[in-house]
Amino acid sequence: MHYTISDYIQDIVENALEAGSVYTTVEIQEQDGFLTVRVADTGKGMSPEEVTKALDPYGTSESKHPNRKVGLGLPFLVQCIESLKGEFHIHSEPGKGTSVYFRVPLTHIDAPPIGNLAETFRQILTYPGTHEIRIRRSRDKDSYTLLRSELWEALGDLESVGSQALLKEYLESQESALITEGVPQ
Amino acid sequence: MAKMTLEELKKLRESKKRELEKREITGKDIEIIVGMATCGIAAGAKQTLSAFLNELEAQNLSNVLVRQTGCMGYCYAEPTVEIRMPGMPDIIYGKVDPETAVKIVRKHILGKVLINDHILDKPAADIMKK
Repeated sequence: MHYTISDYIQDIVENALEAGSVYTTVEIQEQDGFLTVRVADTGKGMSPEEVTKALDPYGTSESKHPNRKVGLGLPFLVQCIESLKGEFHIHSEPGKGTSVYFRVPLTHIDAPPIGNLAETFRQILTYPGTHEIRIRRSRDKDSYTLLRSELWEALGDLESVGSQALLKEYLESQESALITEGVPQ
Repeated sequence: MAKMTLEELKKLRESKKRELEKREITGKDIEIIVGMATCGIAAGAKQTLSAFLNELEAQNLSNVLVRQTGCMGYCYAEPTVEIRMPGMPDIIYGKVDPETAVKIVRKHILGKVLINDHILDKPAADIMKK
């Protein structure tokens, strides 16, 4: 299992990008003690049989990883959500894309920490390629939106250490502004 | 911390760029690739990636490219990291925790000495991008 909820989110986004998604949306909403996450991609999608296989820890894609017997990305997430009695949905259509939705109670005693979202966003946004990613993060009524193309344009590139350091500063400022405003003084 | 706007981010980049131009540019041909699949993330690749970025920034190696990739097929030795740079063989290091990441920057990249305990393999032909 992964250590934080951010790790699960990053794992799903990595799946989306590996499936060739050109436009991926990530929505993360924190409200009334619940965290709701939705990741929708325009990748190659899966048939119902492939979805069943993706949810089975002993199922994996022959084309993605030949000779492998396990695939643990989604099963880890499902196991975590089941232990928290949360909600999980996956919808996929071949040629159209996949969307994954989950909702977990953050107050549950077994709920993992959310983790460092600013750092997770930086890693999601700097994954190589020319695809677009739109991230919307909200906490109660406050929110911010990130668009990969806008950040790329502002920084010139997303791969050099210099750009990634500036991106970190930017993302941390977005996240910390959200937290101070969201918590009653 | 005040919320930064995209305009401010652009300005910050311009000022950093000017600062960089004054310094001798190093690290332009150096590439670090970190495996970030389920296995990598579960083994702490996110912390490893952060450690690389922090150490490279601290050593003024702002031009180094730090990339992510999927699973390299060495799930048992995650986090795995591939280093490509002139004057050194292309190499994959295994079990790279944040401490080892710092060691790689200081010894492999700056000192041009291999870190023998963590050498795993040379990159497989099918994941090499020419």
